[in-house]
Amino acid sequence: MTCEEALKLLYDVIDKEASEYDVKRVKEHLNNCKDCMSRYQFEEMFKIFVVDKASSQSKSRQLKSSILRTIETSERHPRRITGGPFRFGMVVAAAAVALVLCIVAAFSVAKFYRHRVDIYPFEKSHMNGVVSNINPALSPVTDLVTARNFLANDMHYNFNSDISGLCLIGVEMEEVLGHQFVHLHYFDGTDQISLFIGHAEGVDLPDFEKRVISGVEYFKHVCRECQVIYWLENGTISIAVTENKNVDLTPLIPIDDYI
Amino acid sequence: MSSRQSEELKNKERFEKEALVHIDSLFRTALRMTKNEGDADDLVQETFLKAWRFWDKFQEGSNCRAWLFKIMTNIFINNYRAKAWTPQTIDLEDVDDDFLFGQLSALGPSDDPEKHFFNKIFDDDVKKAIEELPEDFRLVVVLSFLEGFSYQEIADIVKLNIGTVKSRLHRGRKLLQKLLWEYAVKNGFVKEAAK
Repeated sequence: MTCEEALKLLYDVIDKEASEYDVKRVKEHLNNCKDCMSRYQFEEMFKIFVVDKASSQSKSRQLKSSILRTIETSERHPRRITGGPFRFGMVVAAAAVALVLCIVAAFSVAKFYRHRVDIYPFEKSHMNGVVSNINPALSPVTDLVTARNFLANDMHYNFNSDISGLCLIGVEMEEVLGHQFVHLHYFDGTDQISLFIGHAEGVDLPDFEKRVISGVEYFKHVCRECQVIYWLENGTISIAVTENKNVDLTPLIPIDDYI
Repeated sequence: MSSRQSEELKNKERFEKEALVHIDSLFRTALRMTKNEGDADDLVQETFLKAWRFWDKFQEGSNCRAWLFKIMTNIFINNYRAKAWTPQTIDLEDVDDDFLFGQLSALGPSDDPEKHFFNKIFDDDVKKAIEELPEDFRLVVVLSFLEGFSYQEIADIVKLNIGTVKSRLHRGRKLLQKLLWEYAVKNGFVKEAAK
């Protein structure tokens, strides 16, 4: 092994990420190379130094007790936008209606996914803005199949917390502004995203914060602790709900720009 | 007690045992990221509240600590990033790989300059230097150095590929060394070597 090769593996070895094979080769090299040896020893010492100096941090017990108090009073299940307890029976009964609505709304779903990238800045920044990074398993059809299973079996879905894409965790029927919508809950590993899909005509939208982007009117409304975004297109109201109140509407880009 | 209530109680016990035990570790990172105790408190609190709300979605047996850090990183980036923004005071380019090592070696081999250098610097100065790192670098340095996460775990937490994590960690290290060196020079612990 040359010095250059040994130095290339420097941090991998120090961070204990190098393979056994590489570690062995590096060790052999260090035994015969004083310069590399002192460099390795220095970097190792530096890491120990930083860890040692920066790790000391005492924490009051106050934080723990206040967290315990908070979770005592908070509901554990995902928040709902409209009132009333969630009734499983009602959902099962509405399953057939839901499926019809889902199919009708499939087009809206497809649109929402594209919009979603933008109304969720975190996701975007971590996807480097590449829309194709969205989990391909997320096609609306796949989700509707999953939705059917949900309605037929249980409302919860065991998922791996390491998933990189969205995961459907619940489906229910909701009445909004006097109209029935399908209410889908997604989870992206850390955040919950809820989405209503439906078709409603002649609904008076209260004058929320409004923005027109490429001829489509978007309305923003902060509802309880969530932000709701409505948009009216070809007589259909789509409603997206995000948990994050700080979502900015500015980056909404018309779908056509992606295609 | 109904079965639902007892299940809820069991859930809570499990949450305390598996999640809340990581509170100090999360707080340490929160403090380095937000740079003040009040925000760090809030960030940790929000993290646990969210974790609790999704607790039944957390898969038993998987890495709870990494899951919590992922939640916290997410909240930090969404809600705290702008607030804790660091004005760029250090030059991101132009730090040699062996900058600090080279400087210290140049001081001469006589009295173990490295040990001398490390002994002079206080805990708070190291913490301050970490906080001076640009956020993207700071996050990976803290997760790797202080929290001991592997490259892969960090990649999952910050949703980056492993190559980006490695390069950020590499540059974060170099910048940290440069900041500490500048600090030592400023305080007269070492004389800047003519290299």
